[in-house]
Amino acid sequence: MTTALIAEDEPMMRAQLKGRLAQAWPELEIVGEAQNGEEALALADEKRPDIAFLDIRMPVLSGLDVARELAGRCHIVFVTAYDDYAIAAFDEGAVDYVLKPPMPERIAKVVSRLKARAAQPPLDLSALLAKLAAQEPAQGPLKWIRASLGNSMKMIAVDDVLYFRAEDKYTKVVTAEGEALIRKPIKDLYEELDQEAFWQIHRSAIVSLRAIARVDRDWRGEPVIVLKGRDEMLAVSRTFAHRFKAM
Amino acid sequence: MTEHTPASASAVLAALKRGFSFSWTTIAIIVVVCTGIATFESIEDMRPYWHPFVTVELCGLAIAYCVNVARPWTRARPIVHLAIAVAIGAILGHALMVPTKNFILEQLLNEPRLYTLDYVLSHKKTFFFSAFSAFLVGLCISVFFLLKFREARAAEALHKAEAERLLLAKQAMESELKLMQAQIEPHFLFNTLASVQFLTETDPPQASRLLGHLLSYLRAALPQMRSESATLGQEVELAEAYLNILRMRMGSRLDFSIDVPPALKTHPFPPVLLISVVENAVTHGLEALAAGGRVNIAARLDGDRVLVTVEDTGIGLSGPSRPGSGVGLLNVRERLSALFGVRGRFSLEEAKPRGARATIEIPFAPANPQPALAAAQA
Repeated sequence: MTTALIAEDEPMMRAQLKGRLAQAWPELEIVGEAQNGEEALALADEKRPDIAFLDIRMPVLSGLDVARELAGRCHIVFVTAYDDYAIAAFDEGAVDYVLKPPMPERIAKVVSRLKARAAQPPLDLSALLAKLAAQEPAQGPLKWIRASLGNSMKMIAVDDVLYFRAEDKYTKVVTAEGEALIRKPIKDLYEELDQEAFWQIHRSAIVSLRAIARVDRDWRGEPVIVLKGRDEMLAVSRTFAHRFKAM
Repeated sequence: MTEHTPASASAVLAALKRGFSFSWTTIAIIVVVCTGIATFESIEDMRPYWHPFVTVELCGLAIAYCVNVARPWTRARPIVHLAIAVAIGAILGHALMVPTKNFILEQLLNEPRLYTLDYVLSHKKTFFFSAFSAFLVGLCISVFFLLKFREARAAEALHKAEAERLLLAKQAMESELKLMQAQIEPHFLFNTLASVQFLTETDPPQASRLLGHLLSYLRAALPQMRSESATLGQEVELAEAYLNILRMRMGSRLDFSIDVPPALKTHPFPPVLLISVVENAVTHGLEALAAGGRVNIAARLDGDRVLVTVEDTGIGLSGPSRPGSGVGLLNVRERLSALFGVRGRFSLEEAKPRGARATIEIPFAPANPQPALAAAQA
């Protein structure tokens, strides 16, 4: 007898899929129902189902994450309401999927395909999953910084930051409203920032271009940055001075 | 703008350091002007030319340094501060002159040092007159530049204010557009419709209820259906419809409360802001948690500000950020500052014991005259 697992976070959707499967494939035994990706993995280990129906968007671990873990252990059918980039990839890779709400005709088609494949080993999805992971919208530059102010945490919009300065193992974040500390070292931080908007000017300082009022020369002729509405000035070290030559 | 905090040691040090930042052009102008004055003085001066030259250059540079430290143009009474700075500069210039001239005499010209303590004390009057004339000349020149720069600065400020206003107007339009485009997520719509379909087969009265929530959500969220100006009450209703839909879909995983005083419900509120923040709390705070959680929406009047908070008991700020997270909130922030300037704020902080608290702050606008939103947008 064929066994199956359903992983879906919304109770109604779970019940609906279960009902449709019962109609289309009465002999199929649902051995587990999971509400999130983590539960799905635990249930798969315990019950060893032949087929796993996985919702793509689930808490803790997504359906794609679960499929990656279950690689080769059972047939996978993805369930989704709307994930156009994933669906295009599924069609291309002949992967089974069900769109929500599940229509009886679609379920019937998936069931007949699953029955035909039952004797074969599960499809190898690793290439497809890797491709999907690569297609996920890129992280993009950092937009919010989680910083500590005293002993509470606060999100600071990167746009508000005037400059960052390294202080021991912390990095000081300076905005017009005050200062806060983050744990990230300044060189890691610089990688994540939008480098069109922030320039490193010193081994220990990154400045927001928007905060610069002008670039002066100090008495040695080295460039120093004068900030808008601030008294302090930031020294530009020799390594980074070339960026200001044209200014 | 400029801080007038009590002078701490580090602030004084920073100010003293700041005095050295000159552009080469400024230094060149000072040197040329001082050379002119020195040349004029040398006519009457019997000593070699370098004597008046060194005195005047040192005074000029010392005065410029002191003015640069004091930055009188940032202060309430610029002329008074300027006069004090010039006086200190004139004295400093003369104080520097003594060792400088001794150095030139001894080291470069192999002559005996002239400016011994006795010499200086016996020529008190000469020193005083010299410093006083440096003060007068220095004051005239720096007042001239101060006034000239003030005009330029005022013109520049006007220019900048205009540019800033245009930028704000542009930002307001852009963020409006972005919010509207980002509004109804297809995923949300399809999942809700799938739930409606399920309920029509299993529990028709519930189906009709869910459809009702979806209708009121769409009515407020679809850009074409949305009115230009909104009230806090309308925006809260939109959030309520959204949360009602999710509560039906997520079952026991979501709970919420709304606490808005009736008097504030008619207060104008920018459309679609609140729902963006609520959606963020649900998708980035709660949905990632297997156990789900609560969302509390509350509004209150605090002096002349209206504060609307959205608190959730989700993963808080420490959770892994998903792709695209934060963009919506960035739009909220931009839009608030575009509409209300510094008086429109958005903040996001960690809530105790867990979760996150988002706060939208806008200026309170009494019922009449016309909604402040319209005024702020104009």
